[in-house]
Amino acid sequence: MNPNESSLEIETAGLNAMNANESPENAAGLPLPAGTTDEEVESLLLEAKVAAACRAIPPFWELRNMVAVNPFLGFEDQDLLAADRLFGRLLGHSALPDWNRLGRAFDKGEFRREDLLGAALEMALPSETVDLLLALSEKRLREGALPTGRSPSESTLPVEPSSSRGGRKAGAGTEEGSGAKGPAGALEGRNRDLPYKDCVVRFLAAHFDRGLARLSWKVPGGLLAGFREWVRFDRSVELAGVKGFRKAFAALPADGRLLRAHLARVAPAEDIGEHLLGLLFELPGWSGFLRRQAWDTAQDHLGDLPDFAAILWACRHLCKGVASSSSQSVSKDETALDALPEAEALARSLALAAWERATRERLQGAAVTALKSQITPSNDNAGRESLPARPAVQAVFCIDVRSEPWRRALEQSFPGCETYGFAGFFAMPFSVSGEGEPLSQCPVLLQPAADFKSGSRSYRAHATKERGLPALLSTFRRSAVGGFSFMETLGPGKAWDLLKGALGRVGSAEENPQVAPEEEIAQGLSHLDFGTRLALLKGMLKHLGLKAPYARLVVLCGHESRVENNAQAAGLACGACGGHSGEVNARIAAHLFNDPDLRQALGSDLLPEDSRAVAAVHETCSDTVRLLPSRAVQETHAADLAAFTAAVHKAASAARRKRAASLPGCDKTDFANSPATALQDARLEKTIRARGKDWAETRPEWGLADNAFFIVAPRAFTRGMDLEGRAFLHSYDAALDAGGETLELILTAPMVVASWINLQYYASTVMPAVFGSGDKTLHTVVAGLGVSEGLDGDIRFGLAHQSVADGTGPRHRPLRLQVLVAAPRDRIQDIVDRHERLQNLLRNGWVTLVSWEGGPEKAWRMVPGRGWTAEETA
Amino acid sequence: MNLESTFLLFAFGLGGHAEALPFGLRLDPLSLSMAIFIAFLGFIIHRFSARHFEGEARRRPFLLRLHLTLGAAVLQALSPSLVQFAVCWLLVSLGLQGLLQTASHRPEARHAARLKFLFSRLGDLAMVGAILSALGHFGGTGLETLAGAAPAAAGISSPLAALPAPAYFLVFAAFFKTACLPFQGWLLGSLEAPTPVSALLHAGIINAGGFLLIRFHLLFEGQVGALVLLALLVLPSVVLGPLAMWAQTDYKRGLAWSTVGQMGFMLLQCALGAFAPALLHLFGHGLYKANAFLRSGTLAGMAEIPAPSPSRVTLKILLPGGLAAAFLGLGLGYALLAGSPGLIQGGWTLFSIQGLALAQLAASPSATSLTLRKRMSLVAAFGFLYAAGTALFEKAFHPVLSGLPSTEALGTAGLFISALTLAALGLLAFLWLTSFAWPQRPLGRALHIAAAHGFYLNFLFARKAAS
Repeated sequence: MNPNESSLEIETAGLNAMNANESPENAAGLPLPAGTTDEEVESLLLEAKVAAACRAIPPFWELRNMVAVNPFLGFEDQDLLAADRLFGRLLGHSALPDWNRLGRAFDKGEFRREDLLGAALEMALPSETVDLLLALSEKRLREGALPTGRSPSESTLPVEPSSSRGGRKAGAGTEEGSGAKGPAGALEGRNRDLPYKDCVVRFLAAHFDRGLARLSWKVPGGLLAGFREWVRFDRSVELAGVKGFRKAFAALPADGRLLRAHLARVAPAEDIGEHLLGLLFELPGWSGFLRRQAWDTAQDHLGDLPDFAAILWACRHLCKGVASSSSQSVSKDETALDALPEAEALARSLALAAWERATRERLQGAAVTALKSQITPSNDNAGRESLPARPAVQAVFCIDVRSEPWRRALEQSFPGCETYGFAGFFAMPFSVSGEGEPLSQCPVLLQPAADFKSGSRSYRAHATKERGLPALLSTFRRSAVGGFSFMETLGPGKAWDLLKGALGRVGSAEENPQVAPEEEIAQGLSHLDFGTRLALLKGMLKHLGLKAPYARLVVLCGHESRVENNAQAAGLACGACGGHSGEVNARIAAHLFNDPDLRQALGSDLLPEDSRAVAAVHETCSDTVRLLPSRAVQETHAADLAAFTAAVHKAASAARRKRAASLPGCDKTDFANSPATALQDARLEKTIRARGKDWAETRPEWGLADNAFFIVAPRAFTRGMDLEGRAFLHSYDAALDAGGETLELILTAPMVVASWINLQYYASTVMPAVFGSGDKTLHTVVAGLGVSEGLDGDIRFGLAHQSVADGTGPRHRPLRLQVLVAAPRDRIQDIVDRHERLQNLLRNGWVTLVSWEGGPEKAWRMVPGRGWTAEETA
Repeated sequence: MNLESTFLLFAFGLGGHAEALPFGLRLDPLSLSMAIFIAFLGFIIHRFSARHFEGEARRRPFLLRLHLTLGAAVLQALSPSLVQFAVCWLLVSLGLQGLLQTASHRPEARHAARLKFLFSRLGDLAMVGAILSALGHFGGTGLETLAGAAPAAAGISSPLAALPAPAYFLVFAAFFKTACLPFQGWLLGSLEAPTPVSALLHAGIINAGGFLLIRFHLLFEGQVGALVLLALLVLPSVVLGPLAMWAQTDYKRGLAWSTVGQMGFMLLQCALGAFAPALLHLFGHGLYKANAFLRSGTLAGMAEIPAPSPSRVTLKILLPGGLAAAFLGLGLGYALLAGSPGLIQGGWTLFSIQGLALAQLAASPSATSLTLRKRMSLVAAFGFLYAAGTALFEKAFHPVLSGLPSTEALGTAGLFISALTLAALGLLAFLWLTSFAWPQRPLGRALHIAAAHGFYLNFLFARKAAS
């Protein structure tokens, strides 16, 4: 393979992948062959509508690969208000934060009256309504901030009462607060009374089961064929009161397309797309999972989802008249909501915009101050370059918001260290294949470009062990008669397991079997030819943007989260590594960096002779960083490593001290303000580690909660600022990227991923009933794919309540992503002009983009369609 | 005996007539081991819950209810009389009610709690019946009274003596309170409560029914009819519980259905008169189930169990070899500790069951990386462990569990129960072996789906309790 070609492939993989998704309406414009009959035309139009509805469903990654997904993916070409209207119509849920939440932020001074004014100007509201909206917002904010009369136990109910649109409930905070047991509960169980729900979700779980059930449901044919077979025998719908359901379903066409055409005739809907969307969003987890099933083929591919839509459509049609009280309650709501003025929603989105604006301005103000203070003491013009010409260490971290506090701590404990931010897969889009399915170790927007063969000895040994005694015990326990005597034979031994769990002696330190020891990294890559490896290394070095000459030690630090007994653990791992530990990627990257042959091919002008890479892993739950130097580097760079290791220990302690106050159960001692003695640090480390390893812990760490910013700039712009772990930091030096290729990549890949994460947190906070996975204490794993709350049966989409709120209130502030880019405006404009997705995201306010062309003090906000406006910095 | 005064005394909590007070602490190996078991579970579940709800407002009320429930359960284990047992049972049930409503904002949780309330009261009713009947037949409810008095002794002439023997009421109380089919709905409904509640319920509280029978096993003396009734009542659970479990794609639901089957098996052991093995089963299952629930967040890669193949190796080596290894282990265990399985009540039946289970395990095509010798040694070791465990329990609890003729000595009825047991487990084994081929047959598919829906039993009660 030509090295240049493959490098191009890797670089553009992300772009291509996204382009494929950029024209959702493509299907509607199918070229029609001559002589198409009316019926065929109708069918094509119908299919296009179905496809459009299916595309609005966000994909949901199963537990093993759980990554954040933008739940509003299908609404990128509309704005939040439009999504709010639609979700209000379909499900009776609002996509905007409720007045209570907004009011409390207002009350705390997170935004003020002036910000409302500013936001009103930004939103370009019609002037005649501005005054009215401002007055309305202010009134609601003050009402919302009032104590709501909620008793403490109610305020910590796992599922925040879902906010409903409009002012009837929203206006009276009290009503809403106490509504947790009343109306909100009814809204939350949106699909509770569907007579066909049990039948559908049981079928799906059996159809996709990954070994949880002993009985397998392996029926030939696709989803629809499988469901038709299932319905032949499933009496649950009839027992729920729908007479003759099985017969009626069997009489329907067996082909998906014909079935939809048939349904369009017998069960017409005013707006078929919206009707189907409503049906699919009643089971967002399973719908999303089906969307994801097809995702790997192509992001535009819909797989079984249209057939699933047809199934739900048919079920709803056959069950109409019976129960389905949820749809009735929605329509009841609808009439009530229709009577409400649109103004309520507008006012809420105005308050949200004001909150975002104030937050952004505060950040810019802080950045200006920080820059000034950096320059003043050294008192020279080159303040930003006041660091030594060649730093001792260059450490690259993932852009993940959890890296930010840690980087700051490291910079303080080791001033000679330069830190960088880059997507944690280090431009190594690998899949790792061992036994079973290969794991994708790159962002979901990319397709893995190369395969890492994990056929290592340690891995094989692990697999062999698994097939030994554990397999025999599992069979003993689950077999027919053995299941009974198992309890008498080996059950009493479980007392030991219980004790180990209760006393925190859990084997959480178990090594990731996919990660091979040093030599095996080379072995796993050996099937890749020289050109491919060189291209990978070149691509990484190019986009990493490390300042030359490289330091003697270049640390590539991926991250992972080691938590115990947590079904959604993958959600805490590295999203850029497909919801897994970033260790493999970091080690592969370091290996390529140090490969003498590759270095020779690269020429020494880029890589200094004595510069070596060291892989590292940041364990985000305990804030420790493990260094994984190769043996050769340990010999040649012993002194550098020793100095860095010492700094890492100091930084880890500092990072932990800072974080302790936010962790329930860790906050009993005021670690942040007590003197940093070695004893205290050791105690804290022990406490935090114990929390992470605890089998009962529901909040081992806060993940990416409270994220709000995406900053694309040299570290000098933010160095020394306390960003409170709210910012994705992507290093970017505009001077090194005259062509704008790196920036294009940043804006189209990591920024989009960051906005996915941001909106995932937003949606799980604002509309938990649809896009959150509820109370962790009630979770049960379904089919090995997702979690269900209690007996619900539908797998839930998104983050659990415990991931976005603690016992006293919300942890995540639902703000849309504020993107700050230190690059010339024309360069940004040029890139945005070429990418429809970026235009959509910006135009519709899903992200706000500000150019720091002249530094934070001279900021310009992009107003899509209207150019740039100067930002005021507070 | 003056019936009126008995009632008056009873109403004022002063108990039956033979013993001064029906309340107190009975301290013997049986009650103490049960109390320790509950205390151990309580310790684990307390530690778990304290962390699980860290920093949340519901933590305190939850822990309070947990401790009240546990306290009542310990007092229940230490009951010297049916009266205290029943009163504590009511308290446990009410405490559990509170725990089940931890997520009370969910209609499903409220529904489950209502269902639980309903069935628990049925169980309580049976307990009241048992107390009245014991008063009528024995003149008291205390263990000493029951042990001392010959049945229908002393010419008691109260109308209460006309009631069926207390054993029948005990059977029904256990039946209702251990969530046997078709009253298992509330047990599944309880999955609407947080994980530690499920652990407590499935590992500890649900066992009280079995413990009732073990504790008051003396009441079964001469009551062959009650034992047959018990076997018949629990048979559906023994067969259908595991069957439903196999079809569950939801981890906790699978565990709940497993509990249904396990409770059925424990009660079946009681019906066989094998009270000591039943007690061992109670402890073993409780510990296993508590662990399984508390670790429900762990995504253990569940290995699919491959279909057994009737290959020559299986038929000629694995099956006979497994059988031999199993009986070797079992025999060794009994020989060392008990002498013969015949010395354990119902022992021969259980012995055969365990032998078959282990032979089947040896022939199972899973665990491919084990050598033949290792596999056989493990099977023999399991057999030994089982035999040693039951024999040890039999010996340790002999003083408190003796006094009942073994099933083998019960004549036709005993044979009948043994035959029933073997038939039920044989049917289950048959279903297991054929189930691998179910996807190919319409009947298999129908059975699969019915099992997935828990045989539609929830529809029996769902609507009524919801309204």
